[in-house]
Amino acid sequence: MSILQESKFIDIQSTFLRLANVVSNMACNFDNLLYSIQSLFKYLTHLLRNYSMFFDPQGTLNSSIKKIQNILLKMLEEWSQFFIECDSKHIQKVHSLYLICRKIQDQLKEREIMLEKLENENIQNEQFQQFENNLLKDMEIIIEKRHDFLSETFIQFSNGFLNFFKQYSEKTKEILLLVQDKSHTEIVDMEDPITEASSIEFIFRNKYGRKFLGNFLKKEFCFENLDFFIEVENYKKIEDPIEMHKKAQEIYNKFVKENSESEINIEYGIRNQIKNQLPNADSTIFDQAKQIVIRLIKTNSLSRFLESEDFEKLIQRLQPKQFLFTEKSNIPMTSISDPTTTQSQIETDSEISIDESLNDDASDSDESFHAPFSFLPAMKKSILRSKSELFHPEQKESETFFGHRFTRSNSLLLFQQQKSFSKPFFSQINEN
Amino acid sequence: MGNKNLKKKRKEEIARNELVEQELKKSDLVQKQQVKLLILGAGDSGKSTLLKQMQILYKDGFSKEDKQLYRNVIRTNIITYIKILLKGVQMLDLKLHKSNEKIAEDFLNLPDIIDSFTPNSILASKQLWNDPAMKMSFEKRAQFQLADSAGYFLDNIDRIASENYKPSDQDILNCRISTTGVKVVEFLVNNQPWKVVDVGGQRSERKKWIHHFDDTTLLIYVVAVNEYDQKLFEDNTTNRLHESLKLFETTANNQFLSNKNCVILFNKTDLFKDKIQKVNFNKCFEDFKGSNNYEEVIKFIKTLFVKAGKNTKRSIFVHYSCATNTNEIRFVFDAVQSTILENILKEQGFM
Repeated sequence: MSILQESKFIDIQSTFLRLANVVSNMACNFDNLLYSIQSLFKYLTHLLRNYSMFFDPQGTLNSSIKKIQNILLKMLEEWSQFFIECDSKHIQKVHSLYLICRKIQDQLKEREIMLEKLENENIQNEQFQQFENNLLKDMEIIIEKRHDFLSETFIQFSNGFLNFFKQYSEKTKEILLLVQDKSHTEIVDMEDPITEASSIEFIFRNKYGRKFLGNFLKKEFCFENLDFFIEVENYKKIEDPIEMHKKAQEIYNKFVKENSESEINIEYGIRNQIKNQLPNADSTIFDQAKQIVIRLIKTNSLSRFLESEDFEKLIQRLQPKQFLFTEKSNIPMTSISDPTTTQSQIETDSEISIDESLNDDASDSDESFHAPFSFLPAMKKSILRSKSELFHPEQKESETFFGHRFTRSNSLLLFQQQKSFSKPFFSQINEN
Repeated sequence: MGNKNLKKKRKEEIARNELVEQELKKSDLVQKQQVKLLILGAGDSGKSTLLKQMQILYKDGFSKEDKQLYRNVIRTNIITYIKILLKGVQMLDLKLHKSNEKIAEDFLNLPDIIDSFTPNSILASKQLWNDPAMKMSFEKRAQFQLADSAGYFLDNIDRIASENYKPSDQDILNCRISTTGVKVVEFLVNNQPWKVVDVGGQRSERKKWIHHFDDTTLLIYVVAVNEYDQKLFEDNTTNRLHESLKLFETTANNQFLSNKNCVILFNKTDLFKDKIQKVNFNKCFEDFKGSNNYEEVIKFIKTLFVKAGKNTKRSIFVHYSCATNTNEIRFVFDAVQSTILENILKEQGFM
């Protein structure tokens, strides 16, 4: 079951990836206007990947849903803000779109409240689904009503968003079901070692994971547990028997011996066993003790760590500084083997890495931009320039999901122009 | 005449006003004063249980995440208990029922420590637990390291194994998670901010205590009185109650704590009551000459501890409790709070 759940989660994840790509393809047709949306979905994707590494049945998933929701809200807010400030010539169209955004935004907020209620078990699952269905209907109506005002592209985008939201809502349901499975019916192997370990093990194995967990443990005076774990890991890599023996003695003196400098909290029997084995130390001598310290960290500190500032810092650190341009980050990830990855996704990735080399000469933009809306002036400029394309899309439909083709030249231009304002935008999101 | 009356009334009013103002000042003072409670004691004495009780009493209980964690721990612990008892069966040379021998073998082959809980293993645990040899092994548990709450959980194995099992507050209070490091948790106890420090009790943990000794308002030292026939988790030779007494002596007389008021909480009295009928206290404390009943033994233990911590600069308060009983602990904390209030007011010259 656990493996099934994991594969389900990976499935959810890849759906998000796909959606993110579809949306980013669409965004390209709006040129820079919807750049922020594109980056947002990339960010969202990235966030999900990060979270999947910490995926455990104990509720982190819930908070990741919340985060996604927050980001969506934020996106819509900035988006609508942008439309307010947009060119007056298109005021009518822009206004109606703005109203749509506003409306959707309100609905999402409401949805979040409902989701919270659901989590706190104030309402039943059916009630939530009822709400969700109504919400979807409402959205459809809103978007339909405005059809006459809007250009084709906008309608397509709106529908795209609606579709995205539908799928997102489906996935939320699935996730909620998974979470509920876990807490109500799925007893069988809830002590699932794979998923359980994956989260803590990721932290243990990741350089920054260790660093920030270590910082936290130092504050609670139990750093020796992690320290011991790391030393034992290093010890197990030693091949030379003499070297190994030396190291074993070292570890024993530092962590295991009574009254040693960083004595770990293990029971007499295990300590004695290590002591007796010491003359013929093999690579497994500390394994039992290692399991104990892992358990100590897991039961004592992990939940507190996940709520601490240090964990926030870790999450931030794990996001490559310009992940927009380095989508393929070097963080070890849970392998995503998704046979349905679309061609466009691969294309997007390659575009991104090509663009990396172009970043340096693309920094000729206005210095006076200020966060968080620093990108607005530039956006306005580009909208004015490309408004004819924007409101009268001439592109022919191709086989992609929403009928828009992702063109290479388009995206290169896009990245060059927008590089300068990607940072403040994200730093703002990160703070939340 | 009227004038006189008026004057009298005025005087009364002024007096009342002053009284009210003083009360306000007092309560203001009490609320501003940060209280720091240090919970110390040897390993497995019930320190963290006190903290859990405070979570129930002064915060909104356990979160969903907490419950998930405890559920996993409880279920894993059951396997651990069964394994310990099986080893006990071997050690005591007892014979399991024939049909259970194979299961026992499988159990003992489960990897140590690694969390291993499957529906089969829980069924098997139940079957083994019903074996008379296992019950015998349980009776003799003082000879090996078995958590005090093992009996509670093994008796509830059906409920714990059920599909919809959600740990109750009582389960969580009974669930043992050994503490490592130092945890500081803040509570608001009747409008007064309390900072409560919980620590690990094993020998390796004790050197970390000192980092939190300063600014202590009150020391709560927890003693598990039922441990008088048990050996230490850390060395398997030292008697636990002896260790606890020695530890109290050194801690309470530490230069940072020697002038702090102190509450000694004699804990696990319920288990103690059971044990005293089976195990002679005199066997473990040879100085004890009284008769082997609850009152006399507890009085003896109390005298030992109070003597160890006594000095002129502090008062020692003694409470008896079963830390898993929320009502008893509420009573203890009420008493602790009134002590603290009294103290604050004394220091500020109100009393």
